[in-house]
Amino acid sequence: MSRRIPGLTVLLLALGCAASRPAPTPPPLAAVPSAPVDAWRSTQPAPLAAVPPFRAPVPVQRGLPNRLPVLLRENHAVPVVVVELAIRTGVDGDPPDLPGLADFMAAALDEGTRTRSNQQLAEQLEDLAASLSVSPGLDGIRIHLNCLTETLAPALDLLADVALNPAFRPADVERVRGITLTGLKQRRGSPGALASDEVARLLYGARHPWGQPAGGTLESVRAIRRQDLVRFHDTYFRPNNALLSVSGDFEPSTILTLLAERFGAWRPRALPPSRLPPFPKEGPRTVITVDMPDSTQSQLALATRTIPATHPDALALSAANVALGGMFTSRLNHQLREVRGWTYGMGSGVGFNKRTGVFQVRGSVVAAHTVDSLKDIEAELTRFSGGDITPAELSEAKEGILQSLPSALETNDAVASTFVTLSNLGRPLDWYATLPTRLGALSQEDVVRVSRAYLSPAKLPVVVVGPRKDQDGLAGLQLGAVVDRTAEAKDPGKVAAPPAVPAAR
Amino acid sequence: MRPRAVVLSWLLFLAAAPAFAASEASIPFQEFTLPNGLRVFLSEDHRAPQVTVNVWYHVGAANQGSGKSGFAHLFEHMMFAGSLHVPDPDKVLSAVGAGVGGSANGSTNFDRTDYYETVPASQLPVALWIESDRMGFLLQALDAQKLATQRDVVSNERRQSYENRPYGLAQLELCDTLYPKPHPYFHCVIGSIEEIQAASMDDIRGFFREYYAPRNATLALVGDFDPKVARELVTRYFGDLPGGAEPKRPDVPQPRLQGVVEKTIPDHIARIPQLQMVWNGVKPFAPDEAAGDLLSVILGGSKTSRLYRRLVEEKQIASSAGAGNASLGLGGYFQIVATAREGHTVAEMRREVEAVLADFRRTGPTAAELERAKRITVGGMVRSVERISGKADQLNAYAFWTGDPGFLSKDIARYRAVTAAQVLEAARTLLPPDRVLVLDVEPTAPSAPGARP
Repeated sequence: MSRRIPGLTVLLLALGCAASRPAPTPPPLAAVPSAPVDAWRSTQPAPLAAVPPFRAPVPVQRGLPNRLPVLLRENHAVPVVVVELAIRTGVDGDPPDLPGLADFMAAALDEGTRTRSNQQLAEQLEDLAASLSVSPGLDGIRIHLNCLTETLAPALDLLADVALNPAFRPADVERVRGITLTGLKQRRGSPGALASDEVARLLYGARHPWGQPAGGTLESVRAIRRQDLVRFHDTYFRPNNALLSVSGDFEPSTILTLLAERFGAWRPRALPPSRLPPFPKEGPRTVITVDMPDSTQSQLALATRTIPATHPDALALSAANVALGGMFTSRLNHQLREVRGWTYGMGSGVGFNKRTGVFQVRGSVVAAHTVDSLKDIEAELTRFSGGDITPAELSEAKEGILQSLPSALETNDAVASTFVTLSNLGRPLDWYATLPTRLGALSQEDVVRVSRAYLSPAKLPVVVVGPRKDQDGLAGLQLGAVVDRTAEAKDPGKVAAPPAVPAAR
Repeated sequence: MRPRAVVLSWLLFLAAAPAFAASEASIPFQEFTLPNGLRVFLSEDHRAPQVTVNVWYHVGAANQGSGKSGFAHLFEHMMFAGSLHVPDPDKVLSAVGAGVGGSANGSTNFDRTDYYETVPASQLPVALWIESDRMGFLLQALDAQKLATQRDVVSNERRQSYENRPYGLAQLELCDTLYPKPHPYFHCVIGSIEEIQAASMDDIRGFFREYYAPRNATLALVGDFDPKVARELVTRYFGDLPGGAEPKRPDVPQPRLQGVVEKTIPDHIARIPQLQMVWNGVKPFAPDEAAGDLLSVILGGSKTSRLYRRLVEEKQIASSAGAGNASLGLGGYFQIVATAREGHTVAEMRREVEAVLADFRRTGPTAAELERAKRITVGGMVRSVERISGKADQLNAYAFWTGDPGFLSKDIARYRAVTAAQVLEAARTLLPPDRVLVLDVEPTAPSAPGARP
């Protein structure tokens, strides 16, 4: 058991801060022990001489003739190559009546190709000591390959085969459907999953694909047909809607040839126009409750939409979030855990995508202190969004963001995926390389301003998944109208299914 | 030759020809021991300007007394509550930039406890300052209020990680059945809330004096440092700490299952039944451990494994199926876990698992299965040292279990050398059909949606 849960993942890799501290003088090592033991131990040691700052990797941009962009970063530290093929459509490609289609398609994608059964595919990957995974997201699907330098060519064969020639054999599709339905049913018992689905519905709306229960509903997954998978793949898996990101021990003179041999014949095609509904307007604040009578804890979530990744305030918002709830020592965790002892961890996170962003406070608290915890969170948010952030807090946030970069970008897996994320977000590919300068320029006033603008609790709907018997006084907090959604949350398809529009497929 | 952070000869590892059976992988390091008994491992890695500091204490749940479940882990929390000269280590780490990304933490398991932080290379002295101060001067800074808070925090950790998580309580039942009182693994590492809440300041003081000393620890530094400077710093911060008594390794006989033990566990979070079959297992680096590990991969370690194929793909009665060989210092366990597919039952899954095992006990693995399992296992070992934090952990782990921090290449050779006959033998001896714990986790009927009390 670890002492602590990591704070809410600060969804993007962190951010960074100024390398603007003066280079410190190295301490005279030999001189120190002559002082009395306690005295020298009581003083925090000075830093060693500054080392050259971390340089975040920036990819070389190339492309194949069929408009497939390629991002390359050489790294010969370990004999591994990571290739991530990113499709730029994910859950946002789900038709209104088929929530869960992108997830279903992603789950079925690596279950066999036209020339390889699912077992042959798995065996061949294992024989190469390679790993391949398919990850669906709100705005994309990623196929991630980690292989050894020596087996790059045959491993790329498998990646390309999975991406371009999935078979979607009926038997495989039905197996994936059964497993998917099982997973959806399991989610209905999980306090964390129930809270996430409620948050998504509040932020994106019941008509938006992002506002649907993650993975769809039992009804929609039962209704998805093989040809829906084929059509989704055929529509969105196009080189003009994709990106190849490569990091590792490849040979720069041959990598493009290797990629072109496998992806060069992939034909571009225009994508259908996106018909996503607008995000819902902000309504009066509500408190959603889902009753879990037997739980010993309540899962809490307070969340709001913020700004897209390219908004000029995004960096300041990330820094503000770290100070408020992105570190172990941040206010939320300090108050709820270290002062009160009501939780194993309370934190906040910001995430961005191309269209919007999300700020969320999240954690589980002992059921008996559900209402007390909400009161404390509300007080911290009120104080913080009122502009109460100290220079020391801001400095810790900026330094933390900056110093987390080397670890966050340590592996080829992380680097290849980070390039994809930057590209999806519409951020420049040298975002992390330039971060120290931009973070250094961030002022106290900037952070106070964005905190006021985006983090006011008056904007944050509240979700409480826990025993109702421990919610006496919840309405008295006057956070907003308390709405019981137990029935809908635990059986979303049956109660609140979007109207079926089969003709639209 | 391009410099490589991890020295590897992958061609040997990969070559299918039996002549190339062994692979070479190593973490270059140097070692010294302070006069107080602290063993120190230094491994340079200059890929990025950061350094990771990792301390292993040779103490875990195994060292708890009976009725003190959860105590070693609760104690770990107290190590972050401040020491004599460093009243708030977390605050110090945040100030030097180690507050984001979860790079400063600790963990407790059945047999050991570790503390680690990754800091900017220039802040190596701060990391050593914090680790040495809590190794030498913890007790002077502790008080009853801090203990009371962490008792509550850990109780919430138990609620979050076990009580409110599907199949969490089954894990505790496994420990309680395999390690009945007064065994120190009873209630697993997390412990019972009642016993966590009963922990006193005297318990904390006694545990610290007995186990938290240089002679019972190892220290690994990996990253961007000058080894000469690092050695001076380590000597300065740790050199004058009293070494402590010669560490005692706990010696508790491993209780043995005497028959087929069947238990049904109601679970109010899970919505899908789960089967767990559990056998008495081995200790780390026991002679049959490597064969047992490969057995677990062949049975349930990947999509090509026997259990996955049979239960998930052919019979389609399970949504997942896996196996694991948990080696623990006081004797581990071998576990098969299968979660049903909706509409299917534990009884169906058990029949199929038993059929797969009966078949395997007759014939053992195919050559291809064994080779695949070796590649998956060795690949995992090598990838685990891609990060500096992984390297530091491995140096300490090998030092703890084998005495040799540089055991990685020998460890890989140990797996490469396993034969099909040894895996077959492991299946026969490790998984006897008549001495097994069978857990049937059954979702309790969910309360009527929306019903008001």
